[in-house]
Amino acid sequence: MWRAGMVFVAVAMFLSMASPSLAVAAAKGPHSLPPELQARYQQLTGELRCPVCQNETIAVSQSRIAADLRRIVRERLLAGDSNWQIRDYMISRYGLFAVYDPPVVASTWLLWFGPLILLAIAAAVAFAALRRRRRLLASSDDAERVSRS
Amino acid sequence: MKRKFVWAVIPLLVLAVLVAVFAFGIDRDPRAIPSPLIGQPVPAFSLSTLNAPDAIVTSAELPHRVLLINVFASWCASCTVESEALDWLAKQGVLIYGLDYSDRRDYARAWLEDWGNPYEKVLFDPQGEAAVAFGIYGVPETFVVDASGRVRHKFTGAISVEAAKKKVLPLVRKLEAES
Repeated sequence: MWRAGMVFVAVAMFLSMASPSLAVAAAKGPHSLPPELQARYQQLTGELRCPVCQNETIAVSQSRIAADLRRIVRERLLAGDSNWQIRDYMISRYGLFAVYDPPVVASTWLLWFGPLILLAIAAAVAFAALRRRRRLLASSDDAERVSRS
Repeated sequence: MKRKFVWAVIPLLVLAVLVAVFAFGIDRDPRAIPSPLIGQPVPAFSLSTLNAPDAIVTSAELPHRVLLINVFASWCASCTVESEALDWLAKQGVLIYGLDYSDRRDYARAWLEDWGNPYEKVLFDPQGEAAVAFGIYGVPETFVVDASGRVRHKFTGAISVEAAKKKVLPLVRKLEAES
């Protein structure tokens, strides 16, 4: 009896691990997506920014609007929209604010190229300082030589 | 001597630029998202009204005159604060449509009984489809729509009576004069 129970438990564990269809069946519900869309759903909701709690993605936010945005992403995926169509829809409603990696347009030039400009300024300052130092060292060498001779 | 002068001035210039940037930014609300809808036609929606679950109202059926679309909900605390300003605007003859967001009909009806109903019609949006189409991120929000059906301005947060008198009504009158 005890032995039969163990066998049953072992078989049940094996089945639950071995069969992905069981896992999917467990995830089924009113909000489920077909497996081929689930990865895209995760990716999109992880890239879109919650407009209320502004430092969270809509994937993790608990706010009402984030829940509604997740539902819209799900519905549009099911309707066959591409990731870009869904992103563009969000941008058309909330502006570039809606995405965590905004496209390169005039208003985001500073965001994208600002660090490069800062790097260039820092490099120019460092270069000028080095050259100045070298010239000072060279002139003090000259001075030494003059004083010794 | 001249070089030393340059090195002394550069930090001051950097400071001046930073002060200018901060002075410009200090009054700006980092939570305010500029609406891409300004100047655009009212987004398409198709919703039932609060009192008639079977009647569908679409954006095409909005009257061709200046109106406000006010997003509210029975769970929204600052909407109770705003109700006084909306009542005042309605008394001035401003047409106000309500958009009841993420709510239950019975809750919303009870709320309107408690706090007054300044709305011409209340559109019922339990799933937030229209709310997202309008790009709302908080409740309350109020959109000013001109007679040609374009969104012209958006107020975020509760409108005070003072703001209604000094900002909302003058804007409505100005848009009415345009049309």
